[in-house]
Amino acid sequence: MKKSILVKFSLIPSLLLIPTILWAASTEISGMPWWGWPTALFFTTFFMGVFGVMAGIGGGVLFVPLVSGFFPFHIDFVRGAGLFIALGSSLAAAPHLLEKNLASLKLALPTALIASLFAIVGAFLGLWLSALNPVYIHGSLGLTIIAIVFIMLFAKNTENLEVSRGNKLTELLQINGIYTEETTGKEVSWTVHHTKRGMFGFVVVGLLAGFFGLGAGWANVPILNLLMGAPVKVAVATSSFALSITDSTAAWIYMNKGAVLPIIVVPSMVGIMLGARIGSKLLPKVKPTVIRYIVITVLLLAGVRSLLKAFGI
Amino acid sequence: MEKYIVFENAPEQHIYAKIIYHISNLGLLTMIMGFILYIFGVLTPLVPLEELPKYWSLSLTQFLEKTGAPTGWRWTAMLGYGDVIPFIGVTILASVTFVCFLALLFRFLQRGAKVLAFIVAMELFFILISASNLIQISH
Repeated sequence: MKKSILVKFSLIPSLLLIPTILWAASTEISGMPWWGWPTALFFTTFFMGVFGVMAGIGGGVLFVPLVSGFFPFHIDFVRGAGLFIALGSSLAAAPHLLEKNLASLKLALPTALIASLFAIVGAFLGLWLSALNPVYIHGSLGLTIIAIVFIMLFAKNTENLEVSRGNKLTELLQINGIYTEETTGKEVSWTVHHTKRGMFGFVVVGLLAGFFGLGAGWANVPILNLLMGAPVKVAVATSSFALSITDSTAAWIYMNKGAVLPIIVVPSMVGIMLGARIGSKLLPKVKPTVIRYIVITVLLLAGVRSLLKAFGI
Repeated sequence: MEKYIVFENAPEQHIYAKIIYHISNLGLLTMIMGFILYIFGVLTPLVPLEELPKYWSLSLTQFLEKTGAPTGWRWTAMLGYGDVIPFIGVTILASVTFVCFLALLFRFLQRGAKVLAFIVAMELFFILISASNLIQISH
């Protein structure tokens, strides 16, 4: 008990301090050696990984707003790195989730197909707008992040869903599956409904993923769970896995356009993946709701910072 | 008479999981090794490390103009440079889904799952289009 309180109280201030330190650093330390920023990036993404897992939102959504807001890198390179971070995290999680039958290939295939097509559109649109004026990206990112904060605060997943039959489209696409609920040992059969509306949701998910380089777990899960009726465990796991499909098209576009810098991508990917591993080990020792609210607050600050950047403040 | 739904997972999930596991580990390892060669100066970079802070806050267009950094697949002809070598690992990571979907396509065709094979073929097409650098936009 004492240990858990200690862990909580030692982690909370460090999370709150990260943006403050980085904000100060980005304005005051201009003469930092070349290795200073990649090192700061490694430690920041490490903490994003730790807290992202503990808050249940993944570190991907934190990366673009925080790094574009508080680091000196151009937003094009940050978005390119953001896509690879989401891709790397998804690839790392997918084997386990697929083996356990929590992530569903049959659910991911059609939804990720729609999302990855629109991620291509989003990537081109984002790079085109950024070339016109990056202020458009900062402004729309700020607004999107604030909207994400509200979705995270108000969209509550539900366990009490029972979709006994899907619809014609669900049956054509054979979207159903079985997984074993570890807490009870029972096998749970599931299918989904409102498939057309769900697919429309993935149009938006794809556009945002390509446009901002964001991991889209915050949007995937409510669509799969609340709208389409997939069990929450299947929704979370399939969302995590499907990002590796959705983001791969946009990641190729950013890479082909030259927006992927190894000096940003590699420390970030390694940092966030190490952090996520530590975070999953710390998870039983901390209270996820407290961490979740802190992470949401940091995300809100990052969104406001993006908006301020758009107005040149 | 009501039609029964057979609830089942795609048997290909496990093959998919194995391919992801092995190729993404290979990609990650290759990327980290390339990065070590880069930051420890074993291979000379196209843009000297000390000068990077002057360029990373530039817009993409300005960055490419001033550094001559490669776009598209031109990096494959520049593998002697430190800041290009990590792209081998990055490319492997970006290709994992393509390889998995190729395996899925063969499996689905083998067992006559036409709808799923069609979805997979479409996804492969989208990935190929994105990776090929054939789509261009003008500013």
